[in-house]
Amino acid sequence: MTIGIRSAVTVLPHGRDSDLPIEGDDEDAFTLAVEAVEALRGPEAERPLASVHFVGPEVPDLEDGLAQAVGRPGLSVVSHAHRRMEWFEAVAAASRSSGPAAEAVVVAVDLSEPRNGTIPRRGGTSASAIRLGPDGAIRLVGTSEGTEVRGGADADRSALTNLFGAVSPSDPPGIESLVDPPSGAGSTEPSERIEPILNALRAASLAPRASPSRWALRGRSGAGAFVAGFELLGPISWRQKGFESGGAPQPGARGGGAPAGRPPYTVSEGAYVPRATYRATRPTRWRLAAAHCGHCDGWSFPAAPSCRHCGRSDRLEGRELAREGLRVEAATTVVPGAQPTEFDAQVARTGAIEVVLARTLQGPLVTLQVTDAPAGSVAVGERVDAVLRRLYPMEGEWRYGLKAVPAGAPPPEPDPATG
Amino acid sequence: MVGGGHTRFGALPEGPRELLRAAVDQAFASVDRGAERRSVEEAFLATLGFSGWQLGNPSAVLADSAGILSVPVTRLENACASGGFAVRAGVRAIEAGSADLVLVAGLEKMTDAPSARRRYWLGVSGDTEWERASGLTFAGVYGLLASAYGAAYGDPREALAEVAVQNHAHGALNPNAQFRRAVSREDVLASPTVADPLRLLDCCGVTDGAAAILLAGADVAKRYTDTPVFVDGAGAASDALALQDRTSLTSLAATRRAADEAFRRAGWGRDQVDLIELHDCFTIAELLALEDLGFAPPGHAGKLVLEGATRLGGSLPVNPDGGLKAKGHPIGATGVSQAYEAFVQLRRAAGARQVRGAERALAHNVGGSGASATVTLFGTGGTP
Repeated sequence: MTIGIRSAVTVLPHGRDSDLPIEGDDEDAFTLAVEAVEALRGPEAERPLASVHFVGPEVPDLEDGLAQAVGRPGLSVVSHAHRRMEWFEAVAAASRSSGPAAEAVVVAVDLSEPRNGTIPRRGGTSASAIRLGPDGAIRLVGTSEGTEVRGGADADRSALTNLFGAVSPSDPPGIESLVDPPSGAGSTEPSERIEPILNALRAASLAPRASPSRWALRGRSGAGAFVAGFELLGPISWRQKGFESGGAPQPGARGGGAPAGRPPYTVSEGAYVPRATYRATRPTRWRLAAAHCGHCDGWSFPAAPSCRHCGRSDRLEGRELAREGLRVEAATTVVPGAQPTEFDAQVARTGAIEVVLARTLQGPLVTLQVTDAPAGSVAVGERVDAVLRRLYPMEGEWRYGLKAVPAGAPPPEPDPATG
Repeated sequence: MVGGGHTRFGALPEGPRELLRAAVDQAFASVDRGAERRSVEEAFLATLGFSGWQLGNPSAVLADSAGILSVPVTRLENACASGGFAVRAGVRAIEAGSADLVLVAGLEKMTDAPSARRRYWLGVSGDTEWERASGLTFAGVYGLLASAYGAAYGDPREALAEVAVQNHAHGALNPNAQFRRAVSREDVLASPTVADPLRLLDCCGVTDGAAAILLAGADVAKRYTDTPVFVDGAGAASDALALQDRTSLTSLAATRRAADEAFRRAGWGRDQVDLIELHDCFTIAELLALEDLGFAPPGHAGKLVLEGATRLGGSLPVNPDGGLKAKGHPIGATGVSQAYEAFVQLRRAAGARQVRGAERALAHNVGGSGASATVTLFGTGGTP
């Protein structure tokens, strides 16, 4: 059994195709990582998750928050420093934790840097997640550090021998150089950005070659250099999210996102959700955790110890409401100056806020701020999806919650060319 | 009711203590045959504590300011319905036989806080965990109600504007009102949007003010005056805090239940109401109230307003004092101010805004977006 990469997804910040700045900066390393992991665990994820490895900028409470956000409290989440060598180590560790009964995910986030308090439209923020499991199409054989990147036939041969053992001079493994993006592309060091590795892997997996084929990638990680060896057994399914235009991933084509690091410390004076309450109610706030009553078929949201319709408690089952396809029943656009003060910084940047009351497919209503679309563009009767985004800073941490985005088309089918 | 006092409403130089003292002094002074402060056996203070002014224990401030230091004072807070609930508490204290004379006061001082602090406080009585966290203060919450109402019954925009026109016309006749000027429908429609579809002139102001009434048991009321105003029935009810947890977005169940209870207790009917003081914090609230109180079928309140029935001189005068919209809405004071208006109207002492022949009045006070409501029915003691 070969543990390898079975599928991948790249998530870019969601914006609009126009000259206007990207709406809000309510996406960050945390929300993009959550979205990428969730996107990977579609209908095809038949095995449970054993672990998630995160490679990216420092995110407070990343491990617990990510486990909660994907609806798996207690899931093993391992945080790695934002370095390419750490990504290879994460892939190796994830491969070890995956087996016949479980899969693992490695999610990496590259960030562009907000400038002058606004989000640059171009920069190169993305989250790339890969799913590792049995019968994967791309297997990491190993890495070799300290190799001179410029290569040269002798150095290459030495590195390839290190990785693959005996190398036949008549049929050497392929080796390609990773091209780093120009410096200044963002807050992630160009020589530590992860997405180019995945782009190179995808291109290699698509190229016609003998299967299985041995292939290596050489590049820099910070001041050092590496060669990483792979076995390519076939193409992987690779989806992209966050594009309107579709097509192949365009690394760095769209920027956005802000670090999830510590926000400014603002003191709350009322209308206050204490940290402990906020954390305890994450399943409700982030995943619409509710309770379904087997007696009356009614839904209680938030989940309660007894059914809010019939009052009975012996056939209540904890279930989540659907976060897709909510129908808007009321909508209002709140102009600057009428928002609660927690949203002052957001409003100063992006103007009016639209808020909707939207009904889930199961019946309960939820109140959601609209994002990724101009205020006033969502009308009663339309459908929205609920997505996890940054809300506002409170007492030194970012608070996250669901927001509404115009309902997307059903998720795109995997590209037939890539399986 | 044997006495009532009312400060001007608006942006006032007086602080909270001065406002309270002025309203209470006036209430005592209004008692025809006089009342001693030491006769007060129970007192209630309605206040949100807006901007954080004396958030805890403001009861002592009333005891101090009103010169009733030894009297038990209870502070009551049900957001914008605090005053209505305080009046009801006073009525209950008398019904329970625990007091013969009760002071009920309401107060809010809102205009002296910086604007960011005001905005902070204008949202503290809504649902914190979902509504506030999605970016709503009350303008936005009522914007959602107006949106749902329009989706159900058609665009109410003209009727909303007419609600503002009506209340401003009435407010212009009230010397205590914050906004004593008439506005036109065009003015309302041309005012800037606050929370779509609500515009600036659809919203009540931010107001300082205090009001006070003196309640006496019916058996002792004649000691104080020959013309007391009777509380014929008091009703109150609650509902879910957040709109998302309600059964309807086009009707406030708490108003309906409170009204049913009040009429049941009073023993007289809606057709005998001569004037209505209702809770028009936003113009859409007046349409909802007219329907939930039972004066118009669902979706038809706008017609009543557009026909002029709710104007002074119409068949069902609404908010002759200008309502929250023009008189102003000092949160804790509003419900007490509505009782005060019933007091002066039913004693035919309302001057230019007097409703002719007023014998029975209804006062309707709402907390938040309908999380709580009171309906109180007043009469002159005659047989209906």
